[in-house]
Amino acid sequence: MDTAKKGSLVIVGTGISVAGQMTLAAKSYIENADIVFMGIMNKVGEHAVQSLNPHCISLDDLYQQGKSRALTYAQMTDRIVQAVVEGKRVCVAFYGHPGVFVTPSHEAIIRVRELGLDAVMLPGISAEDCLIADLGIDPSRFGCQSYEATQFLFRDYRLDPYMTQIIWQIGLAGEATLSVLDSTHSQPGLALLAEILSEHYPIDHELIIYEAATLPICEPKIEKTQAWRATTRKADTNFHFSCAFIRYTKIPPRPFGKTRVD
Amino acid sequence: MAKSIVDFLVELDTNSKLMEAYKKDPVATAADYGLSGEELKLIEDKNWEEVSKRFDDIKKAPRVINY
Repeated sequence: MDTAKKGSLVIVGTGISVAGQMTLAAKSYIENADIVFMGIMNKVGEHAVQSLNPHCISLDDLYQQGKSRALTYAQMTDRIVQAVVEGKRVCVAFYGHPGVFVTPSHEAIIRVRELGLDAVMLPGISAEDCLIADLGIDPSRFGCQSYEATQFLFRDYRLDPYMTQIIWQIGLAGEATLSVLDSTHSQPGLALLAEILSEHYPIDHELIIYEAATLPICEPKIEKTQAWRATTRKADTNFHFSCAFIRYTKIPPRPFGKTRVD
Repeated sequence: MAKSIVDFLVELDTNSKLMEAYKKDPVATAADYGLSGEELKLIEDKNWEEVSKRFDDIKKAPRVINY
Protein backbone atom coordinates (compact mmCIF):
# COMPACT_ATOMS: atom_id res chain seq x y z
CA MET A 1 0.00 0.00 0.00
CA ASP A 2 1.31 3.45 -0.89
CA THR A 3 1.42 5.42 2.36
CA ALA A 4 3.56 8.30 1.07
CA LYS A 5 1.87 11.62 1.66
CA LYS A 6 0.76 13.20 -1.60
CA GLY A 7 1.28 16.89 -2.03
CA SER A 8 -1.43 19.23 -3.24
CA LEU A 9 -1.73 22.84 -4.30
CA VAL A 10 -4.36 25.49 -3.66
CA ILE A 11 -3.81 28.98 -5.01
CA VAL A 12 -5.85 31.75 -3.41
CA GLY A 13 -6.22 35.50 -3.78
CA THR A 14 -6.12 37.84 -0.81
CA GLY A 15 -7.91 40.67 -2.60
CA ILE A 16 -6.67 44.19 -3.17
CA SER A 17 -7.21 45.44 0.37
CA VAL A 18 -5.08 44.09 3.20
CA ALA A 19 -7.42 41.48 4.69
CA GLY A 20 -11.11 42.23 4.27
CA GLN A 21 -11.45 40.91 0.73
CA MET A 22 -10.10 37.46 1.53
CA THR A 23 -12.82 34.82 1.10
CA LEU A 24 -13.70 32.42 3.90
CA ALA A 25 -12.50 29.54 1.74
CA ALA A 26 -9.15 31.24 1.05
CA LYS A 27 -8.71 31.88 4.76
CA SER A 28 -9.43 28.25 5.59
CA TYR A 29 -6.94 26.91 3.02
CA ILE A 30 -4.27 29.26 4.34
CA GLU A 31 -4.93 28.11 7.91
CA ASN A 32 -4.75 24.41 7.06
CA ALA A 33 -1.75 24.34 4.71
CA ASP A 34 1.61 22.79 5.61
CA ILE A 35 3.29 25.73 3.96
CA VAL A 36 2.03 29.06 2.58
CA PHE A 37 3.91 30.96 -0.10
CA MET A 38 3.09 34.64 -0.29
CA GLY A 39 3.15 36.91 -3.32
CA ILE A 40 1.64 39.95 -1.63
CA MET A 41 2.91 43.44 -2.30
CA ASN A 42 1.78 44.85 1.00
CA LYS A 43 3.35 44.23 4.40
CA VAL A 44 0.00 44.55 6.18
CA GLY A 45 -1.47 41.92 3.87
CA GLU A 46 1.49 39.64 4.60
CA HIS A 47 0.95 40.15 8.31
CA ALA A 48 -2.72 39.16 7.92
CA VAL A 49 -1.72 35.90 6.19
CA GLN A 50 1.07 35.17 8.67
CA SER A 51 -1.39 35.55 11.53
CA LEU A 52 -3.41 32.67 10.01
CA ASN A 53 -0.49 30.30 9.56
CA PRO A 54 3.03 30.60 10.99
CA HIS A 55 4.56 28.53 8.17
CA CYS A 56 4.65 31.33 5.60
CA ILE A 57 7.41 32.02 3.10
CA SER A 58 7.52 35.17 1.00
CA LEU A 59 8.32 34.90 -2.69
CA ASP A 60 9.62 38.49 -2.69
CA ASP A 61 13.29 37.52 -2.44
CA LEU A 62 13.14 36.41 -6.08
CA TYR A 63 12.61 39.97 -7.34
CA GLN A 64 15.75 41.86 -8.34
CA GLN A 65 16.31 45.08 -10.19
CA GLY A 66 17.56 44.27 -13.69
CA LYS A 67 16.35 40.66 -13.56
CA SER A 68 13.61 39.72 -15.97
CA ARG A 69 10.28 39.05 -14.37
CA ALA A 70 9.95 36.07 -16.67
CA LEU A 71 12.85 34.46 -14.79
CA THR A 72 11.49 35.58 -11.42
CA TYR A 73 8.12 34.03 -12.18
CA ALA A 74 9.71 30.80 -13.43
CA GLN A 75 11.64 30.54 -10.16
CA MET A 76 8.45 31.18 -8.17
CA THR A 77 6.78 28.35 -10.07
CA ASP A 78 9.72 26.01 -9.41
CA ARG A 79 9.64 26.79 -5.69
CA ILE A 80 5.90 26.14 -5.44
CA VAL A 81 5.98 22.91 -7.47
CA GLN A 82 8.98 21.59 -5.52
CA ALA A 83 7.10 21.93 -2.21
CA VAL A 84 4.15 20.00 -3.65
CA VAL A 85 6.49 17.28 -4.97
CA GLU A 86 7.91 16.99 -1.44
CA GLY A 87 4.44 15.93 -0.28
CA LYS A 88 3.29 19.16 1.33
CA ARG A 89 -0.19 20.64 1.30
CA VAL A 90 0.81 23.92 -0.31
CA CYS A 91 -1.21 27.10 -0.35
CA VAL A 92 -0.06 30.11 -2.35
CA ALA A 93 -1.59 33.47 -1.51
CA PHE A 94 -1.33 36.10 -4.21
CA TYR A 95 -2.48 39.68 -3.95
CA GLY A 96 -5.74 40.46 -5.79
CA HIS A 97 -7.15 37.65 -7.92
CA PRO A 98 -4.51 34.91 -8.18
CA GLY A 99 -5.28 34.33 -11.84
CA VAL A 100 -5.20 37.95 -13.04
CA PHE A 101 -1.77 39.33 -14.07
CA VAL A 102 -0.18 36.39 -12.22
CA THR A 103 1.86 34.03 -14.39
CA PRO A 104 3.32 31.65 -11.75
CA SER A 105 -0.12 30.70 -10.41
CA HIS A 106 -1.29 29.33 -13.76
CA GLU A 107 2.08 27.71 -14.52
CA ALA A 108 2.25 25.98 -11.13
CA ILE A 109 -1.24 24.55 -11.51
CA ILE A 110 -0.42 23.15 -14.95
CA ARG A 111 2.80 21.54 -13.76
CA VAL A 112 1.32 20.05 -10.59
CA ARG A 113 -1.58 18.55 -12.55
CA GLU A 114 0.89 17.10 -15.06
CA LEU A 115 2.42 15.24 -12.12
CA GLY A 116 -0.96 13.70 -11.37
CA LEU A 117 -1.42 15.74 -8.19
CA ASP A 118 -4.31 17.95 -7.14
CA ALA A 119 -4.12 21.64 -7.92
CA VAL A 120 -6.88 24.21 -7.79
CA MET A 121 -7.25 27.98 -7.95
CA LEU A 122 -9.82 29.88 -5.92
CA PRO A 123 -11.02 33.24 -7.25
CA GLY A 124 -10.19 36.45 -5.45
CA ILE A 125 -11.15 40.09 -5.72
CA SER A 126 -9.23 41.82 -8.49
CA ALA A 127 -8.48 45.48 -9.20
CA GLU A 128 -11.17 45.34 -11.89
CA ASP A 129 -13.73 44.26 -9.28
CA CYS A 130 -12.73 47.24 -7.14
CA LEU A 131 -12.97 49.57 -10.14
CA ILE A 132 -16.52 48.43 -10.90
CA ALA A 133 -17.57 49.14 -7.31
CA ASP A 134 -15.67 52.41 -6.88
CA LEU A 135 -16.66 53.98 -10.20
CA GLY A 136 -20.20 52.59 -10.15
CA ILE A 137 -20.13 50.98 -13.58
CA ASP A 138 -21.65 47.83 -14.94
CA PRO A 139 -19.32 46.39 -17.61
CA SER A 140 -22.20 44.42 -19.08
CA ARG A 141 -24.19 47.55 -19.88
CA PHE A 142 -22.51 48.36 -23.19
CA GLY A 143 -19.73 45.80 -23.07
CA CYS A 144 -16.19 46.35 -21.90
CA GLN A 145 -12.70 45.90 -23.33
CA SER A 146 -9.85 45.42 -20.91
CA TYR A 147 -6.14 45.37 -21.84
CA GLU A 148 -2.72 45.74 -20.31
CA ALA A 149 -1.16 48.99 -21.59
CA THR A 150 2.00 47.59 -23.19
CA GLN A 151 0.10 44.85 -24.96
CA PHE A 152 -2.34 47.51 -26.11
CA LEU A 153 0.56 49.37 -27.74
CA PHE A 154 2.30 46.34 -29.25
CA ARG A 155 -0.63 44.34 -30.51
CA ASP A 156 -3.00 45.55 -33.13
CA TYR A 157 -6.14 45.34 -31.05
CA ARG A 158 -9.41 46.69 -32.39
CA LEU A 159 -10.69 49.30 -30.00
CA ASP A 160 -14.46 49.75 -30.05
CA PRO A 161 -15.14 53.28 -28.75
CA TYR A 162 -18.76 52.42 -28.08
CA MET A 163 -17.64 50.11 -25.34
CA THR A 164 -16.10 50.90 -21.97
CA GLN A 165 -12.29 50.69 -22.13
CA ILE A 166 -10.02 49.69 -19.28
CA ILE A 167 -6.28 49.95 -19.92
CA TRP A 168 -4.16 48.56 -17.10
CA GLN A 169 -0.75 49.63 -15.80
CA ILE A 170 -0.56 52.73 -17.95
CA GLY A 171 2.50 54.05 -16.14
CA LEU A 172 4.48 51.13 -17.57
CA ALA A 173 3.08 51.51 -21.07
CA GLY A 174 5.79 50.44 -23.53
CA GLU A 175 8.10 48.97 -20.86
CA ALA A 176 8.70 45.50 -22.24
CA THR A 177 12.13 44.63 -20.83
CA LEU A 178 10.37 43.17 -17.77
CA SER A 179 13.46 44.03 -15.74
CA VAL A 180 12.38 47.37 -14.32
CA LEU A 181 11.23 47.36 -10.72
CA ASP A 182 11.19 50.98 -9.73
CA SER A 183 10.04 52.89 -12.78
CA THR A 184 7.52 55.63 -12.26
CA HIS A 185 6.09 56.13 -15.67
CA SER A 186 7.07 56.04 -19.27
CA GLN A 187 6.46 59.34 -21.07
CA PRO A 188 6.94 57.95 -24.62
CA GLY A 189 4.61 55.04 -23.87
CA LEU A 190 1.93 57.37 -22.54
CA ALA A 191 2.30 59.65 -25.56
CA LEU A 192 1.83 56.71 -27.89
CA LEU A 193 -1.16 55.56 -25.90
CA ALA A 194 -2.72 59.03 -26.18
CA GLU A 195 -2.05 59.03 -29.92
CA ILE A 196 -3.92 55.75 -30.37
CA LEU A 197 -6.81 56.94 -28.22
CA SER A 198 -7.02 60.20 -30.20
CA GLU A 199 -7.85 58.16 -33.30
CA HIS A 200 -11.03 57.02 -31.60
CA TYR A 201 -12.08 59.79 -29.22
CA PRO A 202 -12.40 63.59 -29.29
CA ILE A 203 -9.31 65.27 -27.85
CA ASP A 204 -11.21 66.47 -24.77
CA HIS A 205 -12.85 63.12 -24.08
CA GLU A 206 -12.73 62.36 -20.39
CA LEU A 207 -10.89 59.44 -18.98
CA ILE A 208 -10.38 58.42 -15.39
CA ILE A 209 -7.05 57.40 -13.94
CA TYR A 210 -7.93 54.91 -11.28
CA GLU A 211 -6.11 53.02 -8.61
CA ALA A 212 -7.83 50.81 -6.06
CA ALA A 213 -7.21 51.45 -2.37
CA THR A 214 -4.98 48.89 -0.69
CA LEU A 215 -5.22 50.26 2.83
CA PRO A 216 -8.55 50.74 4.64
CA ILE A 217 -7.66 54.27 5.73
CA CYS A 218 -7.05 55.40 2.15
CA GLU A 219 -9.52 56.21 -0.59
CA PRO A 220 -9.14 54.86 -4.12
CA LYS A 221 -7.38 57.28 -6.48
CA ILE A 222 -9.89 58.59 -8.99
CA GLU A 223 -8.58 61.36 -11.21
CA LYS A 224 -10.62 62.70 -14.09
CA THR A 225 -8.55 63.97 -16.97
CA GLN A 226 -8.18 63.83 -20.74
CA ALA A 227 -5.95 61.42 -22.60
CA TRP A 228 -3.58 64.10 -23.85
CA ARG A 229 -3.23 65.53 -20.34
CA ALA A 230 -2.41 62.12 -18.92
CA THR A 231 0.73 62.09 -21.04
CA THR A 232 2.10 65.13 -19.26
CA ARG A 233 1.06 63.98 -15.81
CA LYS A 234 3.66 64.47 -13.11
CA ALA A 235 5.39 61.25 -12.15
CA ASP A 236 4.51 59.75 -8.83
CA THR A 237 5.63 56.49 -7.39
CA ASN A 238 2.28 54.79 -7.52
CA PHE A 239 1.37 55.69 -11.06
CA HIS A 240 2.74 52.62 -12.74
CA PHE A 241 -0.08 50.28 -11.91
CA SER A 242 -2.89 52.77 -12.26
CA CYS A 243 -5.32 52.14 -15.04
CA ALA A 244 -7.11 54.38 -17.49
CA PHE A 245 -10.84 53.96 -17.55
CA ILE A 246 -12.69 55.42 -20.50
CA ARG A 247 -16.42 55.49 -20.60
CA TYR A 248 -18.90 56.32 -23.23
CA THR A 249 -19.59 59.98 -22.36
CA LYS A 250 -20.07 62.03 -25.55
CA ILE A 251 -20.26 58.80 -27.50
CA PRO A 252 -23.70 57.22 -27.46
CA PRO A 253 -24.11 53.47 -27.17
CA ARG A 254 -23.62 51.61 -30.44
CA PRO A 255 -27.04 51.38 -32.12
CA PHE A 256 -28.64 47.98 -32.43
CA GLY A 257 -27.62 46.25 -35.62
CA LYS A 258 -29.37 43.67 -37.67
CA THR A 259 -29.33 40.44 -35.69
CA ARG A 260 -28.19 37.18 -37.18
CA VAL A 261 -31.60 35.59 -36.69
CA ASP A 262 -33.30 38.19 -38.94
CA MET B 1 1.52 48.88 25.74
CA ALA B 2 0.92 50.54 22.38
CA LYS B 3 -0.61 48.38 19.67
CA SER B 4 0.72 48.25 16.16
CA ILE B 5 -0.74 50.19 13.25
CA VAL B 6 -0.40 46.96 11.22
CA ASP B 7 -2.87 45.19 13.52
CA PHE B 8 -5.09 48.27 13.45
CA LEU B 9 -5.21 48.26 9.64
CA VAL B 10 -6.09 44.55 9.51
CA GLU B 11 -8.78 45.02 12.16
CA LEU B 12 -10.14 48.09 10.37
CA ASP B 13 -10.38 46.12 7.13
CA THR B 14 -12.29 43.25 8.69
CA ASN B 15 -14.37 44.82 11.44
CA SER B 16 -17.27 46.96 10.22
CA LYS B 17 -18.01 48.40 13.66
CA LEU B 18 -14.46 49.62 14.05
CA MET B 19 -14.58 51.07 10.53
CA GLU B 20 -17.81 52.93 11.29
CA ALA B 21 -16.28 54.37 14.44
CA TYR B 22 -13.13 55.30 12.51
CA LYS B 23 -15.14 57.13 9.86
CA LYS B 24 -16.85 59.20 12.56
CA ASP B 25 -13.68 59.99 14.49
CA PRO B 26 -10.45 58.59 13.05
CA VAL B 27 -8.02 59.92 15.64
CA ALA B 28 -10.10 58.98 18.69
CA THR B 29 -10.74 55.50 17.29
CA ALA B 30 -7.06 54.96 16.59
CA ALA B 31 -6.17 56.27 20.06
CA ASP B 32 -8.75 53.99 21.72
CA TYR B 33 -7.28 51.05 19.81
CA GLY B 34 -3.92 51.85 21.36
CA LEU B 35 -1.73 53.25 18.60
CA SER B 36 1.47 54.99 19.60
CA GLY B 37 1.79 58.77 19.43
CA GLU B 38 3.93 58.62 16.28
CA GLU B 39 1.41 56.42 14.48
CA LEU B 40 -1.51 58.52 15.71
CA LYS B 41 0.19 61.54 14.17
CA LEU B 42 0.12 59.84 10.76
CA ILE B 43 -3.64 59.52 11.01
CA GLU B 44 -4.11 62.99 12.46
CA ASP B 45 -2.08 64.47 9.58
CA LYS B 46 -3.73 62.16 7.04
CA ASN B 47 -0.24 61.31 5.91
CA TRP B 48 -1.34 58.45 3.65
CA GLU B 49 1.72 58.82 1.48
CA GLU B 50 3.94 57.89 4.41
CA VAL B 51 1.62 55.03 5.43
CA SER B 52 1.62 53.72 1.87
CA LYS B 53 5.41 54.09 1.66
CA ARG B 54 5.83 52.01 4.81
CA PHE B 55 3.60 49.15 3.77
CA ASP B 56 3.07 48.99 0.00
CA ASP B 57 5.77 47.65 -2.28
CA ILE B 58 4.65 48.52 -5.77
CA LYS B 59 7.82 47.03 -7.26
CA LYS B 60 6.21 43.66 -6.69
CA ALA B 61 2.92 44.41 -8.43
CA PRO B 62 2.36 41.53 -10.83
CA ARG B 63 2.85 42.12 -14.53
CA VAL B 64 2.07 40.50 -17.84
CA ILE B 65 5.19 38.89 -19.32
CA ASN B 66 4.06 37.81 -22.77
CA TYR B 67 4.38 40.56 -25.35
